[in-house]
Amino acid sequence: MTDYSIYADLLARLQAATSEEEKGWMLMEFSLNQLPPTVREAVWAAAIPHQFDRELLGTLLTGHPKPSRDFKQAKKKSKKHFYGLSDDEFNLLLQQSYLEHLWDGGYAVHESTRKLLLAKLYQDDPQRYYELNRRAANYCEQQNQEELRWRVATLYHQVLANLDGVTDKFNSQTVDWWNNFQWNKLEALIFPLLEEVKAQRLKMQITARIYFWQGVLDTFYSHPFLAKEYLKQALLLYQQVGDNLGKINCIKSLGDLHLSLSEFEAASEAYQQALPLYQQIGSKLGTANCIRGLGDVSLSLSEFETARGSYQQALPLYKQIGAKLGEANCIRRLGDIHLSLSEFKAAHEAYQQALLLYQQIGDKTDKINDISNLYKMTSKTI
Amino acid sequence: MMTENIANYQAERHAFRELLQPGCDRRILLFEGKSGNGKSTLLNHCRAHIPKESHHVPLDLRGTSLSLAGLFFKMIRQLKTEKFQYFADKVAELSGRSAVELKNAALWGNENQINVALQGGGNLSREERLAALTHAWFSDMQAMQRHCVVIMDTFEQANNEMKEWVSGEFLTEVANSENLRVTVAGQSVPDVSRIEWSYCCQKWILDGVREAKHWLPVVETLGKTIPSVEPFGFLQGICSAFEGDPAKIIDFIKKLPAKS
Repeated sequence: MTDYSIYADLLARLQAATSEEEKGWMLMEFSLNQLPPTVREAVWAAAIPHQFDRELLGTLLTGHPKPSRDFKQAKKKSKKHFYGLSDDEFNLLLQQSYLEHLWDGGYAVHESTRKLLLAKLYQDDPQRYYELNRRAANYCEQQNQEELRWRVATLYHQVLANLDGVTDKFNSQTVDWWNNFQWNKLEALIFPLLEEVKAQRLKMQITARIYFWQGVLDTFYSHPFLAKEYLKQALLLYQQVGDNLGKINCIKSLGDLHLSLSEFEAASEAYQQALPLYQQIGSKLGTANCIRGLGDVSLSLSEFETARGSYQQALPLYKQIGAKLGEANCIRRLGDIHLSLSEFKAAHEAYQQALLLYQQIGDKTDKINDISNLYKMTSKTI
Repeated sequence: MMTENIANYQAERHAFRELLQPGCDRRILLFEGKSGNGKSTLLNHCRAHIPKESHHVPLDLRGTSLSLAGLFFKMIRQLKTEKFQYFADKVAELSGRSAVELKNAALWGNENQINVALQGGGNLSREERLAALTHAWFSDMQAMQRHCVVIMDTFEQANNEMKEWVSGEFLTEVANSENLRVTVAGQSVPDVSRIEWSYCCQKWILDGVREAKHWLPVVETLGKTIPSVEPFGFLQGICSAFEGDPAKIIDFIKKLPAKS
C-alpha cells in the first residue's frame, strides 16, 4: 500500500462511519499509529489528568512521583530517565493538534480527544486506566493540599483509581465542605466527577454520592428541575446498593427541594417518610432536621401553632448534639412566628439569640444579614 | 505569541477587530460553540492581534476550582503596572485592616487577603462585599489611561458563583466602562437576554468550517500536500466526513504528507 492509498483508505472509512465516536477514533488511531511507541504511550497518559506539566507526565509514565526533585542527578543522567520521555519526544507530543498549551502554563489534551482516549483506555485496558489514575493521585497528594486545585485533583484521581477507603475520604471531605459553607469547593470536586459518572466509569456507591451532592448543589443554586433529577437518581442507586442512610438523606433532601418549590404536600410527605427512618437508625441530627422541615412546611402555610410545636420539638435535639446551625435556624423561625403574631419583643429576643449563633458559626449565607435587618426592625417596634 | 492556523471565521475575526476600535460601543463579544469547534484557536488568533499599547488579561476559567478571589488576584497580577487604589482600600476596609497595614500589592493583592475581604465578619453579606469589591475594581479600571481587553475562555466550566458574577455585575460594569473590552467564549456563554448589558453585546455561534476552500490556505501554510489527484474533492470529503469540526480537520491536515 502506498502512502497515498493510506489516506484514500482512511477517507473512505470515515465516509462509511456512522457515528461521531467512530470517526473520532479512526482519526485518533491513524494519528497514534504515526507516532513512536514512547510518544504514543505518553498520549494515553496525558489524557488522564485534566492538565499536566512535564513532571506530572513523567510520574504517570515512570510511576516515580516527583522525578525532578534532584536536579543535579537529572543533569547527570538523561532527562528521559526521570521523565520517561526525551526532550525531542516531549516536543513531538506537544506538536499534536489535540494538545492545548494553556494560558496559565501547562498543557491539556483537548476535551473531546480526552473523552475519546479515556473511553477507549477504560474499555480495552481498565487495569492500566486504574494504575495511571493511582499514579496521578499519588503525585497530586504530594502537592500542597491547602490549594483547592490539588485537593480536588487528589480526590478526583483517588476516586477514579478506585482506591481502598476512597468512599470514606470522599464522604468526609464533602460533608466537611458542606458543613463549612464551602460550596464552591464541593462544586469543584463534583463537576469533574459527574463527567466520569456520565461516561459510566464509576462504581454505583460513589455514583450515588455524586448524584446526591449534585442534587444538593442544584437545590442550593436554585436549579430545582436538575436537582430533582439528580436526587431521584441518587435515591434509586442508594436503594440498589442497600445504603440506608444515603437513601434517607435523599428523601429528606427531596423534602427540602419540594419546600423550596412551595410543593408543601410533597415536602411534608418526604419529611414524614424520612423521620421514622432517621429515628430507627438513631440519627438525632436527621430526626431534628425532619421535624424542623415539617415546621417550615407549617410556617409556609401560616399554621403558626403547629410550626411552633415542631421547632420547639427540634430545638432540644439540636442542642443535645451541639448542632448550632440547626439551633440557630429553629430560633430564627420561632422569631418569624412571633413577628407574624405581632409579638415584637419575643421576636426581637429570638433574632438576637439567632444572630449570635450565626456569628459564632461563621455562616456564609445571607442569613446574618437577614437576621440583622429583622433584629434592627423589631428593635424599632418595641 | 504564536499565531494559529485558522480557517475562515472571517466574520468573527472582523467582530473582534471592531471590538478593539476606540469608539466601539458594543464592548462585549461572545463566542459560543461546542467542543472542537475552534473557540480556543479563534481566541488565540484574536489575542495575537491585540495592540501592544492595550492591556490584555487572558482568563481561562477551566477547572471549577478557580474562585472569585483567585480571579481578582489573576486580573491584578496581569495588570501589575497599574495602581489599584480603590480596590486596595476596599480590601483593607472589608478585611478590617488599615490601608497602611496593607500598603503594598503583595499584602492586599494576594488571593488570601481578597478572600478575607470577601468572607470577613461583620454585618455585610458576601454578596454585598463582592459588589463593593467589583465596584472598586471597575473604578480603578475606568481611571486607567490605556484600553484593557479581557478574554475569558471555557466559561461553561466556571463554578456557579463565577458564572452568576460574570453574567451579572461584571458584564454590567463592562457596559459602563469605555476603556474596557471583553470577549467570553465557551460551550455556553452568559445569557444575552440580560437587559443591563445586552445592548452592547454581540454573540456569535461557531458552527465549524465546512468548506474546503477555507482549509486550502491552512494546508499551504503547514506545507502539506493533499494525497489525491483531485485535491479539492479530497479535502471537501474530509470536511464533510468531520462535519466541519475544525479540531478534527486540522488534526487530519497535520497528518498529511509534507510537500516535497
